[in-house]
Amino acid sequence: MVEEQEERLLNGDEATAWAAYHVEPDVVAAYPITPQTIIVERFSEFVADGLVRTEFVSVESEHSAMSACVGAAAAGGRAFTATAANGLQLMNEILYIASSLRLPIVMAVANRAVSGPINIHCDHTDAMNVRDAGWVMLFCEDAQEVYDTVIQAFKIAENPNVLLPVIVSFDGFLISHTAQKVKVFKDPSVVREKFLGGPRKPAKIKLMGQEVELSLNPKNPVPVTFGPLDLYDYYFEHKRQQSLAMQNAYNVVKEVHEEYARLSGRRYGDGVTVPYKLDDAEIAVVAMGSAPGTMRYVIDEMREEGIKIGLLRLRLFRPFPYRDIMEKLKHVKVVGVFDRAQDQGMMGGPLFIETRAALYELESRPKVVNYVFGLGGRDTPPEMFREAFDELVGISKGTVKPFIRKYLGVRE
Amino acid sequence: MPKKDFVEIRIHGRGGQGAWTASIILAEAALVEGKYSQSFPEFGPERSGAPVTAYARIGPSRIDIHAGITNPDYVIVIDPTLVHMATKGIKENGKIIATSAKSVEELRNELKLSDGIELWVVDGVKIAMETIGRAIANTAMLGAFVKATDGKIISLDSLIQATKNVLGPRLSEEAVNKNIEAIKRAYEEVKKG
Amino acid sequence: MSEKKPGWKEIPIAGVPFKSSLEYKTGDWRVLKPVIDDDKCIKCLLCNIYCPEMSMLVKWDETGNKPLGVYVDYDYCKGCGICADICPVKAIEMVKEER
Repeated sequence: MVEEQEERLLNGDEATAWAAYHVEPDVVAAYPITPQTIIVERFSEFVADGLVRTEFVSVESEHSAMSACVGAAAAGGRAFTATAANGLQLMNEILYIASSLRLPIVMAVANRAVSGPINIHCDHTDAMNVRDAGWVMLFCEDAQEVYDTVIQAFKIAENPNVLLPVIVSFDGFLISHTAQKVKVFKDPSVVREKFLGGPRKPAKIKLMGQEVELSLNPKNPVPVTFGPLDLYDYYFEHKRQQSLAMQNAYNVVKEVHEEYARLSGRRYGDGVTVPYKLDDAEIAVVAMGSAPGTMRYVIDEMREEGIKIGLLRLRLFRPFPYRDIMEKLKHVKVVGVFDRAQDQGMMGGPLFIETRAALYELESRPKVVNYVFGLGGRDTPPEMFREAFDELVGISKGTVKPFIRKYLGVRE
Repeated sequence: MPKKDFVEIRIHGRGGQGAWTASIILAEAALVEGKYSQSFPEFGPERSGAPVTAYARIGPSRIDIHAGITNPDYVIVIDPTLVHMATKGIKENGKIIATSAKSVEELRNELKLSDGIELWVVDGVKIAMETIGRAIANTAMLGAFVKATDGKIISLDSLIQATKNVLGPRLSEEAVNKNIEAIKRAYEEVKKG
Repeated sequence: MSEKKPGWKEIPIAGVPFKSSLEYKTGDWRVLKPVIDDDKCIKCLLCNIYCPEMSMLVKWDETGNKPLGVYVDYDYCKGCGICADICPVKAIEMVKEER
């Protein structure tokens, strides 16, 4: 049964703060950075107004923010933080620690270009720089999806078969600062009690023949130590466990998405990918973040002209849904992959490389080309995508010579 | 399926004059009417006194476009010194709603507007001074906008409700009422040319 | 590396140690070992307080209030010598470990 909800005008940051309010984490430790600042501002207001009992820790850096979350989560608490760009880079070493200690921390990232030159606007370079840190990564299209996904993220992270931290990404300014209609649950207990089942319950593990809580709980019959030295005789085994957890996350993302949909009435594809007019498509575009919204207008326009073009939006980026990509794009002739991130010394943007690698498994493969676009907040109007989509049509007809990658929207 | 049935609005003001707030009130008014909307500032750092821009999209169905507004249907100017920016990229049949002490004719000539563009002028700053007591014409100019669009984008009632919703938590009841007075006066006094 | 170690499915996740540290006898790190001269010892228990390995153990009388003496837990004593250094009456001597 769909639960009662109310409409509010919220931007992506506010939607994140509302999700955190409804989850009521035990600890929020955060340091403000544009374009994520509003999350921390709003949430601290919720704390000050007594709407949540969360321990709000104002730290002196993002490195400390993530460290505080590690401590809180290791103690068995539900921990949340938010950051962007250089803040995320400063956290980097602790990100790996959080994932290896299997701490289900949730972090919102308002995607922003990484300095330098200094730029506060949207691109995905910040998130792409931490794509190998062992975090589950979800990319949202709009503020409504941000609210829904932040709530889902806690349930994904805390699943005993996953126990990995989760990043919820959304485009800086384009989503973080754009207010829109967002439906939020009227009663926070729908989120806290009904969906999340009350306070976090740390997983149980066997230790020296006894069942203990995987947390620094002093009531454990056998003490649990987090973060000791782990050398060549065991480190690899622990990493292998993380790989399995990441693999498990794929199904859990789908299950949690479905379970949440029953409460909210909202779905984003199957929770992993969101296809649009792909079934009979000859040309497909692949993208993440807010750009797919704009792209759908262009696709509709081209469909009206009789061009068979469709879109595959990836909502889940880690674990990378390579099987979905193979399955959903196996029938198309040309695939254009749109990376809102730099391709420094690589064959193309990260999304392109992995999409192309996934399609290599197919017996008969489509042509796959890459567009790097929108760096540092460069505007992404429909006309710009139209130009690229027309080029993809040209490749499918043989009138345009295929290429590896292009930079879309840069001045020559 | 996304429909391109929304209108696009650009608001010019100076940092501190509430251009972003005006776009939020517009978006909230759309919500009051059960419509869909977006509101966003000129992305980037705002500085008090520097020219700033805010935007809104309003329409009857979901708005999925996530890009800047370059060809607005309507331009609202809440600072008289920025009126020259109003024409940039405006649609051929667009409308400009500007605050100015000048007459509609005078301003029309000054801006060298093409025939298709409607100009609506009211001295929003004067109204703001007389009602709110500060030279902040953002709410007044929204009243003028509703008149200029014949209440078809948002109605006057929705605008007043939205103003209460947005400003209520920030200002005293008295200050909110003064803003509503400014809205009503500009709605009455704005002139077309 | 001759002992057969458990596989990745057999050990707990998160890198938490799954053996008791009591099984790890650090006593064999020792080069010098502390030897207590009971005749000199005034039972001030400073060595017990200062020992970083909690290896200076106290023998109590039946009431549990009065210390009868101090003895070394050689399973875990690493031979750091802090006890000998802190002892106010020089009752502890560090002597070469014979193994």
